Amino acid sequence: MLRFENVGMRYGIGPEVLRDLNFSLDEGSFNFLTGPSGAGKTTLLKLMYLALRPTRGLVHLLGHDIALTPRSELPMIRRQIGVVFQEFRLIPHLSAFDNVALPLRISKEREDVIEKHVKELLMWVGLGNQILAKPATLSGGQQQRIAIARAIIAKPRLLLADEPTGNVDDNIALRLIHLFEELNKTGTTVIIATHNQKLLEKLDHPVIKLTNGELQILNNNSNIL
Amino acid sequence: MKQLRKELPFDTDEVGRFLPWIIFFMVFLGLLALAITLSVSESINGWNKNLSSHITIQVPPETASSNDLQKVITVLKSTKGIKKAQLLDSSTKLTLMEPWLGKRTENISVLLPEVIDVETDRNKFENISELKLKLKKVIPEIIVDDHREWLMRLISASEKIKAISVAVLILIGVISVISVMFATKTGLAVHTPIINLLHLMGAKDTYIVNLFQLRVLYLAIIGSLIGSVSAFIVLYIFKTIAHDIELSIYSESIGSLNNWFVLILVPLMAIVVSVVTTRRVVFRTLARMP
Ligand SMILES: Nc1ncnc2c1ncn2[C@@H]1O[C@H](COP(=O)(O)OP(=O)(O)O)[C@@H](O)[C@H]1O
Ligand SMILES: [Mg+2]
Repeated sequence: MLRFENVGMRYGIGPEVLRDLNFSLDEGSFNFLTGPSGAGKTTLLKLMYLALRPTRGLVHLLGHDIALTPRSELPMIRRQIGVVFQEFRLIPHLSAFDNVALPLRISKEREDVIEKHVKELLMWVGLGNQILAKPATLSGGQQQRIAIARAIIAKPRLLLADEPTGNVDDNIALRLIHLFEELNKTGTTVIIATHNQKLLEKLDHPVIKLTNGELQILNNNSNIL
Repeated sequence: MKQLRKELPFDTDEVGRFLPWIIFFMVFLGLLALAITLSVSESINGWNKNLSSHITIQVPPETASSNDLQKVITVLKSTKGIKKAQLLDSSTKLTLMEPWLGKRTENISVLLPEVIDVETDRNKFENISELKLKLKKVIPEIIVDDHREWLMRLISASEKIKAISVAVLILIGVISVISVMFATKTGLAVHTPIINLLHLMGAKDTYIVNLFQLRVLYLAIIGSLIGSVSAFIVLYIFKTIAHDIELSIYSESIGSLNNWFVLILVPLMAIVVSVVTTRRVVFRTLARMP
C-alpha cells in the first residue's frame, strides 16, 4: 500500500531532512510515527499525502509509482488519502457542515448523499448541534473533531494525522486514538504522528521512529524504551 | 450550484472592488476609442470615394488669349496621368452655373471664366503643384481648383487620428490583460492556503479554475455593462453636440447600425479577455504545485 525506496528529502539547498528511507507499510495497518521535534515527521507525512515530492528515491502509494504518475491522475490518488493537519486547516468562512462536506463535493458526490453522510458523521463526533457553526466559534477540541470528520468523510484508504494528540489531555488523546482504531477496523490504513510516549507505551501498534532523518520501524513497543 | 461555489471567500479580497472598475474604465475608453476609429475611417472612405478624378481649371475672363488657352491644353495633355483636357463651351458653362445664376441669356457668358475640365487617372497622377507651376508660366492668373489637395490633407490628418485611436485601443487591450492578470494573481495569493487545501484533497485544476472563472465572469459582466452604458451615453451626447455645431464630418457614422454591432464587441472582448486571462493565470499557478 505504501513503500519508500531510498527516499531522500531536502528543502531547497538545505541539509537532507530525511535520508535513505526504505520501508513499506501493509494495507490495513495501524502505525504510529514518532521522533523528536524537527525529526521530519511532518515532512514524511507530506511526502505521503503528495504535498511534497522527494528529492531522490521512489514513493509507491496506493499502487502507483508517484514519480511516473501523470499529473492528471494525482487527484484521484489524493482523494483516497485523508489528512488531519496539525493546525487543522479548517476553512474559516465555511460552517462545520461545509468544511466536512468538502471532500465529497470535490469528488462530485450528490448533494442529498452529502447531506446525509455529513450530518451522521458530525453526530458521531459529537457535533450534531454545531452543524452550522463557523470554526472560530468552536473550541479547539471541537475544531479538531471537525478536522477529523473531514479527513474520514470520504472513507479514505489511507489516513494520516499529524500530532492530533498534541494539545489535548491524555484522556482525550486516548479517545481520539480509539476513534482512529475504529476507522482502521473498516480497512483504512492509519499513520498517526505523535511524540506522546505514554500513548506509544499503552497501545500495541508498530512505531515508525525518525531520528536525525533516519528511520526505523519498531514492531514491539518494549523496544522503544 | 451556489452551495458548491463558496469554497473561496472572495468577499475578503480586494479583487471584487478593484476588477469591475478596471473593466469599467477599459470598456468605456475602448468604446470611445473604437467609436472614434470607426467614424473617422468611415469618413475617410467617404472622402476617398468622393475624391473626384476631375480637376477644374479656371482662367478669369479677359486674361488670356485663345492661343494661351490652347497652350495650356497642350501642357495638360502632355502631363503624365492626365487622360483628358477639354475647354468647356459657353452653353455647358451656363448649365454648370445654373444653380447660382439661374437660366440667363447668352450675354453674360463673356463674364464667365474659361473652364477646362481635366480628367486624371488617379493612380498615375500625383503632383498637382508641379502642374500648377507649369500652367502659371503660361497664364499667371490661372486658377487650378485643387479641392483634391485639401481633401487629401483632411484625409491624411484623419488617418493620423485613426492611427492614434487604434494605438490607444491596442494599449487599452494590453492594459486590460495586465490588470486582470494582476487582479487574478492578487486573488490567488490571498486564497493560496485554501487553494492548497483543495488541491491536497484531490480537487482537479478545473475545479479550482472554475471557482475563479465564475467570479471573474460575474465581475467582468458588471464592469462591462456599466462601462458600455456610460460610453453610449457619452457618444450620444457627443453626437448631439457635434450635430448642433455642425461638426458632423466625424459624427455621422456613429449612429449607423453596422457600427453598433462592432462596438458591442468591446464589452464582449473585455469579458472574454478577463475570463481567458484568469484561467491561464490560475492554471499556470496550479501547474507549479506538486
Ligand atoms: N518548508 C520548509 N523549509 C525549510 N525547512 C523546513 C521546512 N519544513 C520543515 N523544515 C525543516 O525540516 C526539518 C524537519 O521538520 P518537520 O518535518 O516539520 O519535523 P517534525 O514534524 O518532526 O517536527 C526541520 O529541521 C525543519 O526546520
Ligand atoms: Mg511536525
